[in-house]
Amino acid sequence: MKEKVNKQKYNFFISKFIKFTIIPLLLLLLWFGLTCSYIIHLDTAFSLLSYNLPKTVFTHVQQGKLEKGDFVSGEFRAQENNLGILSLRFETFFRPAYKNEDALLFQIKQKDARNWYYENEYRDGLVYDVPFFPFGFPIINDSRGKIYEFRITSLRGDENNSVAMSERWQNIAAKYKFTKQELLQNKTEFLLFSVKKFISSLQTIDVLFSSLVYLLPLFFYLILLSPLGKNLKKPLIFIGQKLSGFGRSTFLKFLLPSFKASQRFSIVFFDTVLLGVALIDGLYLQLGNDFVYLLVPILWIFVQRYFRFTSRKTFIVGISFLFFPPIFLQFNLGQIAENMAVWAYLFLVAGTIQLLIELRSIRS
Amino acid sequence: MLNFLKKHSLVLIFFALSIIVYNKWFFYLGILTSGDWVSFYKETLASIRVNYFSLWAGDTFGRVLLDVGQAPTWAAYGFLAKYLGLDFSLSERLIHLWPIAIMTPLFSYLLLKRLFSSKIAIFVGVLVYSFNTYFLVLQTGHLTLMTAFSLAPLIILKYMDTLRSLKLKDALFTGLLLFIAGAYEPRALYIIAWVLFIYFIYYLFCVNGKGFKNNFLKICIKGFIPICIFILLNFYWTFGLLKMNSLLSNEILGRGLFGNEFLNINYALTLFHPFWTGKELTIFTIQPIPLYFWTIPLFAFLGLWLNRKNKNILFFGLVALVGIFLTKQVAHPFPEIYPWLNKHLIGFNAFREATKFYGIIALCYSILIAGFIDWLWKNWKNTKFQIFGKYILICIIAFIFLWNTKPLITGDLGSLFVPRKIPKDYLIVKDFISKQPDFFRMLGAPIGSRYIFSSNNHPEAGWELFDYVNAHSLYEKENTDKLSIGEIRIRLMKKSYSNNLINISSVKYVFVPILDKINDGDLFINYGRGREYYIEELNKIPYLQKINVGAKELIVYENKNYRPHIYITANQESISKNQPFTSIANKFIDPTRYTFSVKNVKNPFYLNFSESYHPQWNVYLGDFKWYNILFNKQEAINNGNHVKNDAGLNSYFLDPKSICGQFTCKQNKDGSYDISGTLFFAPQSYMYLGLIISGATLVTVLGYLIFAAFSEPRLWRVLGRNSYERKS
Repeated sequence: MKEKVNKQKYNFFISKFIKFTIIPLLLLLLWFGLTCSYIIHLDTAFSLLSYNLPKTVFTHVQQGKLEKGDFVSGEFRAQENNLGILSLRFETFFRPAYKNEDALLFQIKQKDARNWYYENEYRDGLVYDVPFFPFGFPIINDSRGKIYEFRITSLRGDENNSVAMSERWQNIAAKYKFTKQELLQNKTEFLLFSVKKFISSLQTIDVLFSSLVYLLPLFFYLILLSPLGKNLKKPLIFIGQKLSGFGRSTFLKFLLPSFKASQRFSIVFFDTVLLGVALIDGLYLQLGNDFVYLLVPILWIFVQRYFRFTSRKTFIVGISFLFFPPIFLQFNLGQIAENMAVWAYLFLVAGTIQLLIELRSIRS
Repeated sequence: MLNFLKKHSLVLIFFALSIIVYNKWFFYLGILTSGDWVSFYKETLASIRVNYFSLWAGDTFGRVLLDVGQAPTWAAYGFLAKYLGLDFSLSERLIHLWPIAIMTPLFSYLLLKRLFSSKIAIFVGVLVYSFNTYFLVLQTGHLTLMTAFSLAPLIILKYMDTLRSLKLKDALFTGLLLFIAGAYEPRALYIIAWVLFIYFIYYLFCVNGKGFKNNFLKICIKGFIPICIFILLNFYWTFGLLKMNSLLSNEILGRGLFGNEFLNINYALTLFHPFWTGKELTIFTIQPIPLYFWTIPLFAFLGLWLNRKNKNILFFGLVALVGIFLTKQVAHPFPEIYPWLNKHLIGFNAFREATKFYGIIALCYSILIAGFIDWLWKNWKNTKFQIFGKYILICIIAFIFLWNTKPLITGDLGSLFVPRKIPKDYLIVKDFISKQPDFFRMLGAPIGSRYIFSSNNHPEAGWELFDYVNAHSLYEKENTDKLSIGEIRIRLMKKSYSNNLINISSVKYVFVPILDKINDGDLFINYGRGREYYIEELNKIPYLQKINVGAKELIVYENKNYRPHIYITANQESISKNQPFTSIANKFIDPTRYTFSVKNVKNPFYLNFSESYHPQWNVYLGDFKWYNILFNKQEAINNGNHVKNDAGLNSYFLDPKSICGQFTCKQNKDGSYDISGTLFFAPQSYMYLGLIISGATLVTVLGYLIFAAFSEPRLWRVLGRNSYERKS
């Protein structure tokens, strides 16, 4: 009997241990791993150190499209040695045919130098593939503290074949390239570099946003696990009751067809977060981050299953998102249109997977 | 009669619609040729195409026939020309054009009829499948793909039948259909085969209800029979290519990805081909998606959601999403997956650009949209708004796809919707060439014309030998970065080795094609210089002599010192020096086999064979039987004696004393030898073996199906079967 009680106690302990320690730790590890992987992916290499530059570095910004002769110029102070890349974010429109593509002339030099240190021409078709375009140049070993001037000029752009500077926050970054030998010769140096890189990367909105999305599994898990989740229910139901007319409305029931009002209101929080992620990414940040594309639909399916919602809402979201691309295309905002189409597609996939799960449930 | 008409009214409507839309194919019997769809003379078909069951093609300088999987359809052109005297314009209609026009709506109708009971839903579904922009673009030149896709709905239908009925005849029939689709276009078949595989898995785990455990093995066996039959029926070419290591890696499969910039998820979702303009296509210039095309995914996914309890619709929804994902190629989301599949999934490297996957979307959307209309038809009938609303929606959807057909009806699409005429000059040259019995090649500068005559005896040469020599030899390298392709080609003809190269590659005539934009397009536009430039430059080349063949505009130059197809020289043939040669008696059996005989030779010599070098072109002396190669009983001359000369052609070193000790030769009184032998492309023996196996399979399958048809006539009454929906 005592043995049985001990075993029960042991099982209870183990299950609590897994629930409160192992799973949160794994989710934390997932966050850390994905964040690090994204930082490396974004900089194309671990040995690159990237610093965002403020918009004040621009000395001349062309509003709207960069047509023939138009240019963007600026100057900035290098924060490190080994300056090798200057990335600028562009806005793209309807992709022109290869033969009609504009050419962008990139030039860089130290301030007050007579000649340009480096200049090169780039087809603007490349910008359509990599909107945060890295203009590379031979590494400047002793760049720290020096001021550099840059200039990007359109050579053939016109109304139909051109790109524009993105209005997005953080649309310019300077990147410093270190060699493996430099990093590995000293452990402290390497550690310092890693910390510096992690911190500087987290100051980038792309990394910060992605990192927050990677944190969502842990965040959702803790909410659902903690009494906070249960406590949230009451105010949500209260708000719902205050808006009782809306809560009982056919429209809301159509959108959130759960038989329990508490479920209907609880899920709003999770849905808002996930839809918020999709809308911020689709309409503003346009990260094109595969792990965000993967995590959000998985979390969405999980949340819907947890609160016992059917695929109806997912399809409504997916089909509603299909209205965005044609609207943005009418305004020649091809990139946003494509991003919203991606999210529409992902929600439709999520809905179809939910349908398959529902089918399996019916069968079993 | 009235009952029959009523019962099959939809089929008759589609037939009428096809005749209207494809009026240029039905009512004009002129040649239809454009882009990649090249026309041939009857004599060419009877000569080259009739020999398509072969691993080596004798056109240009000879090549491994990688598209031998399409042999049944291409050889059909040859047989129709040789035995029934049909010319290309009629053959192309019988084998490709009319089947596309009729089978696409018909087979789509059969599949939709099985899934839905509402006639209006079936009608719109057929419109979606038959007249989407991707299929219409295919009809401007990629007819092989289109014909295979027109069979796709029937194949899927029969496979669904196979899994449901678990009858052998359904499984065999599906296998036979797969073979026919593959004979038109193996790439379309690859896509269809994956759809069938997904359906098989889906059926096992999602559709199959009662008796799942009891039937599991039966379903697996019957599910795989079509694939087994298909493999056996294609054994004739896969076996040979596999033996040559050319099945899974060859120059076609090894090409890198192409057209990343043309495709993204917007185009995939809307089933809109990026080059579609509603008039003539703008190749490689992306077109904006018209606003109304966005209603297509909207209706399709509404169809999926509204029919979510229908397992078949759910399957097609799932496959549509897979199709969209692949069609967007390297665009977001997950841009790395397509290149990964291209590199790692067997057979996927045949898809260097993803537009072929539009075929899946077209098929699935046709069903999903039909599902949407079926739902509307059944549920919107209570209020005036619903009744009017459903009619308006149906009209909108039907109109989108019917409007696509406008440029086909009017001929504005150009390409294969405008009959062409062969310019007279080419007919004159054809007569001039076909009268000459000797083997020689012709070369077009800067490019050949689709109307130039060619046959096994007079193939049209390409520029590959010049390119090969230029790339591999150390002679006269020069920087050509700033030259157009046309200028480079003219320079290649003016090198010190050019005369020898053109001689040993058996090129007798060089011609400058005429500028006939209506019938042949602007041949010169992609080569940088106008026609006059080439005439002017060729006039200056001393080894070419301008001749008058009676043509008005077509300019022909003769190279008098061209070599025969098979000849001997005392030293190894080379482009660096001109050496005397001796013609020998030889006979063409088929593109993989030639016989030859050399008389009165005493000293070692080189046997030269002006086909592109391939290590498996062997010389067999004495009596030759192809099947002895399979059992290693037929010995070829030592491989070390087979060399690739510096023109990239075959040369064999033969020492009479040595080889006549090993093989049978005739020794003359003066001590010289008469040597007879066969030049044979060895992998062809595997193809013959494969043909026996595939032929036997075909006879067995057909025999069983005919027997089953007589014992149960319902097999033919496909049209009369009830839909799954009505059954349930």
